[in-house]
Amino acid sequence: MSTKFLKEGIDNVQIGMDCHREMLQPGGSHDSMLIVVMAASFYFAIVGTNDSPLYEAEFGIQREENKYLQQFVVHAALDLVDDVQFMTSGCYLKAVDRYNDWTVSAYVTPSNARFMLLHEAKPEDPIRSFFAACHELYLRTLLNPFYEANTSILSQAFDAKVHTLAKKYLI
Amino acid sequence: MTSQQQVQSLLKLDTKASKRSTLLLEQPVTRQRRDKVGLSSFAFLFAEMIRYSQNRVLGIQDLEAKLNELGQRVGVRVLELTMSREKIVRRETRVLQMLVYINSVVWRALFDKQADSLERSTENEDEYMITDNEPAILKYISVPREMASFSPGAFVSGVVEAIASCCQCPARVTSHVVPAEGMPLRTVILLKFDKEVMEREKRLESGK
Amino acid sequence: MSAKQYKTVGEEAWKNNVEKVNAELFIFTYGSLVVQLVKDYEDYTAVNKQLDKMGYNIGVRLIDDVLARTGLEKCADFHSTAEVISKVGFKVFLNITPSVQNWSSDGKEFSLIIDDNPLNDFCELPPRAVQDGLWYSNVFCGVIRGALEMMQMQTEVYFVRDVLHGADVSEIRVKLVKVLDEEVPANDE
Repeated sequence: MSTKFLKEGIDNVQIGMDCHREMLQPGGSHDSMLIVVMAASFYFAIVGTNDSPLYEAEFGIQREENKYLQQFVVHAALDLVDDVQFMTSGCYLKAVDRYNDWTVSAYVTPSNARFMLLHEAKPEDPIRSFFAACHELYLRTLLNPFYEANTSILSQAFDAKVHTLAKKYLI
Repeated sequence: MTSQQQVQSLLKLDTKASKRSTLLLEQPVTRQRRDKVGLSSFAFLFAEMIRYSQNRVLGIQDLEAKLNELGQRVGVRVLELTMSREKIVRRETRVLQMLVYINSVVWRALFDKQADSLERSTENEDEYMITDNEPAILKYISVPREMASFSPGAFVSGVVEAIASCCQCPARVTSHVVPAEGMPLRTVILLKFDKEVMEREKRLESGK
Repeated sequence: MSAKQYKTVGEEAWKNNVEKVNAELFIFTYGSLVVQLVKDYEDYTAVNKQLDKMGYNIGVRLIDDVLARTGLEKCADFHSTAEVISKVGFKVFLNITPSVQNWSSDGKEFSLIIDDNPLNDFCELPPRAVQDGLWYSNVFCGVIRGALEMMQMQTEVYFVRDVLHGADVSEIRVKLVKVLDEEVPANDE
């Protein structure tokens, strides 16, 4: 029997709006007791200069019913990004907004594409690294003459790579 | 299907994850893998682009607008690419710093040299001028006399206009041939910044 | 001249006799043009045609440029022509050297194999473009056709395969249809 607890997850059980807790009964074919708590959950969006999302992804625990809320929170945070972006010439703007227990971190590219990450408490460095790596992907996407700036990014390879980066840095 | 929808469906980049697709996303772009091509290549291509555009417009202003549009697609790419090669990736959102970036980094990336001067208009505080005494790319373009006011540099002003827009400093950018002693092709790129930009600059300055 | 000699001519010219410009400016400008053509024509077959036409217009002027920079004279035969195109023409303009392969038995057709086309550097075609058969660098075909016409050769020049469609290399087929001038100038070599 193996039992897996995630300390972070247990803390989050107290906090989160939705936590999916499943306990598998001991015995039977799955001889383990597993508590799945709200470990890490992220919503990532790339927003164009026209404020429409060019790309969206979720990492970690899926929170389907909150998708619109996530989009709303990110969209609302754009106003703050717009203000803060003139205060610094850096791309990583760190945490720009909070909503309940979610933080919105932002990163703006030289061509004003906004990378927005909705997440629970998380140290800055992995997020910064995630953003920087996504920027590399975004750059190469943009360099393709057939990609029109500020349009949706539909490449499957791009999507796969973003998820790989999320696994590497975030989850 | 409307014209726009047709174009959208032709350009839709819903590509599958292929080997090449992944390779493109991984390729190093830090150092230029490929350095140069012949200037003639560019000159011939550019001349043909002008001829093509000319056949589709009525008048010099429309022709310059077409070239501007062609240049804009280049501008956004040049901005992101040059920035990715800087020691510290950053954004320029202040007018003067952005202009210095264009004058030095962008010009060097495109033309292997800095622009010759960057000046603010003494008459209109929302106007700035970047001057190139010998724009190499215009060297082999001969403008017929009946089109004397046509500035092929409109392509370059498109590049600059896109960069300004990306940097949150939108401006109307135009190109003018202003010959001087020994410099028949001397070109001035004129940027006229939007009102909101100047107002923001004032706010940011006074906030300091 | 042997292939090796043509190679030297091309390299010397590139080194000493060619003004250069940043490749990326050229690559981005070409990309911008192709996208503009897609928007104007809304049809990839029409874009192919237009790229070929523009290439032709370039080719008829470009030939003098090549000859002037390299001091070469008109070629005696089609084999030499192929070498000049690949080792001198492409070298002087794009700093690449496609290889000449797949000669037909009558010596009137050959292929240019390009494995490092600068125009492809960052490029990925939309699936519709692949489906509809866009030859992204079709301008090359027009250039070759135009240049050869100035050398009294009527040719058909077309892409056979392209890296952007998933092939390993790009291949352009050059087919001599007929010599326009009965008199073939003597080879100066």
